[in-house]
Amino acid sequence: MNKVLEAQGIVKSYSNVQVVRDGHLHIYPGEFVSIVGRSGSGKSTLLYLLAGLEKADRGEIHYKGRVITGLNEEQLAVWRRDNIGIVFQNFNLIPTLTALENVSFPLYPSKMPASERRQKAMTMLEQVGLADRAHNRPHQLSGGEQQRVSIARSLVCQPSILFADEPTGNLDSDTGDRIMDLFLQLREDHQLALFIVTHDEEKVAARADRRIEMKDGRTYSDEIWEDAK
Amino acid sequence: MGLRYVWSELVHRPQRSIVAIISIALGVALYLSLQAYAEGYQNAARTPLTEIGADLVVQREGDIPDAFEGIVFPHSTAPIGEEEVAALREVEGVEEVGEALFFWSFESDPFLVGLGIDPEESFGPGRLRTAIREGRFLEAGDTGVAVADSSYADQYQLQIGDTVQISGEAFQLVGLADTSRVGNVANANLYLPIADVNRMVHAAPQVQSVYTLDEQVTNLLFVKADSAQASLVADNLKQLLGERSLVTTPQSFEDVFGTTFQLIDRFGLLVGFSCLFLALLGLLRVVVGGLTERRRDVGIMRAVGWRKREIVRQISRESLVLVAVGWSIGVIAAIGIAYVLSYFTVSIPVPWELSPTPHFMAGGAKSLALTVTMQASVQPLGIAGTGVLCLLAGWVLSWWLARRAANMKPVEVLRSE
Repeated sequence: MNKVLEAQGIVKSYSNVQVVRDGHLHIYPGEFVSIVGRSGSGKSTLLYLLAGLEKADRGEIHYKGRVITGLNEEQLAVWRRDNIGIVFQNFNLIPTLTALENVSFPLYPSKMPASERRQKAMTMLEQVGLADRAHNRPHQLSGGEQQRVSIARSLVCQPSILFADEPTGNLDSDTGDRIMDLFLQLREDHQLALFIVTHDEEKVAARADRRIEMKDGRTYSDEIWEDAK
Repeated sequence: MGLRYVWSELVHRPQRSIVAIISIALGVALYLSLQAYAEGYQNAARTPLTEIGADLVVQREGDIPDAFEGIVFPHSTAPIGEEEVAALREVEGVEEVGEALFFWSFESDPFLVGLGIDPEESFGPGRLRTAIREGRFLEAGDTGVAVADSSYADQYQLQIGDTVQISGEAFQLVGLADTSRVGNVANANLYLPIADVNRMVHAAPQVQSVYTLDEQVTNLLFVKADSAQASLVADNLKQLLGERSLVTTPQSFEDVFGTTFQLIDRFGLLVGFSCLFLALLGLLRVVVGGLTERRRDVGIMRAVGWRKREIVRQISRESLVLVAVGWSIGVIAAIGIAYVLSYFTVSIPVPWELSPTPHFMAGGAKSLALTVTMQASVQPLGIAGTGVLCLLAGWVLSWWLARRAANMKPVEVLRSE
């Protein structure tokens, strides 16, 4: 099977401190990969590098065989919009927009007719079970509902990979479970590759197809990590 | 693209929107109102001459007779020679010249101010034709008839058909005119055919003792000139008639307004622009504040795939909507203020040389003033100018600030939140 995303030898430093060192990993279509590690191990930075939100100092990232590390910021923005979805720990919704408008937010710059945009967003809200809260603003939604809106927004452009940075980190245990159930359901429905950074090895990482651990900026897959231990 | 987003941002951040709108509205309203106020004063200053259909009034200072007996020329209306009048007609920018003969008569009882006019002139005192309250105006070929100022006639209970004696000649009143309706400039108690007055002044000892008269005497000229060159024409006429010439222009009326008008005229523009500048500073503050508040939103835009130019366009649109709304409210407010100002009246002091009464007579030293309405209005050019300036400045400011905001790395703000 062709890899949907592959990183080779990526390095990222901040102020002469290497946060990601010689990162290697790959993701297959529909695969659920979790990244675990202690705080400061570089797992969020790795996610940002793979999602094109940060540029690697060295190394290459391939998306469906195309090198994306050479793209400029504007090209990366378009690439993100067309190919990936991102879910943040703190939801990052636009406070002045309704749930429906937040979901359609990535489509605003497109020339898509407003009615079609709304239709797509409503479909996504239905899939995350929030159709009845479409016209509520973020402050009128619970944490779990906000995260569902955020997930719907990340999927509205029909990406092939969904990146999530601690998606259950701000939620209580039950809500976190339901969000993970939703991720897995959507993965099935959309044939999504999931790349989730988490601290929660028991409820999140344990449900992944593959677990990658980060330590001191280096990536270790299950097998390699077992060997290293 | 995100017009709905523009609307949401403006509506759901009301404090920011209202501050920006009020800043712009105040700046625009103050600028346009000040211009309307200055315009109102300028229009008021033009009114006296506009109403008599002339752009300039030309006179010359003369000498004081030995005695104020019989017909006398006021100090400010010495005769202007026929050749000088002919030369004056040739001055570039001069379109038409109307002649009149102004005099005081100390012989008749009571004292009167007379003006000899050519009834066929369409401007200058000829405009009195439109102010006839009773009877008729003078006609070509008339002799021995006069039109009286209605207030003078009321004061001395003169009626149409009555006779007034001047230098032994009898003039029958054929009409009464309300002179206050036509500018009140160089007005008189009696208006007579200029040929009759010409004949009388040639026989007046106190005129003959001071001046050598041409066959056709004139001492008051009403000049229509190219308005764009009026100031230049006035200078040329002064040069032509010498140091003692008195050329009255709208500027003359503005000058006697004194410091109030000069302050408005000279500093109105400066103050107006300062208001606009402060308004734009207010907008700058609001946009900067808004972008600081919305750093996370801009980060989200970048994260979900908005390009920089799309972010800049979005933020610029928000600013332009604020500017457009503020500008519209400012224009409406300025029109309202100008409307209220147009109910105000302005008292315009008349330059001494146009004052008809001798200063040594009772009430003569009192400065004459005309009361006219402000005629303040907001100029379309000002509306368009402020619109273009505000939109342009708003767009440049927001473009520059949004561009800076869009250059941020989304991770910086999304990670830190």
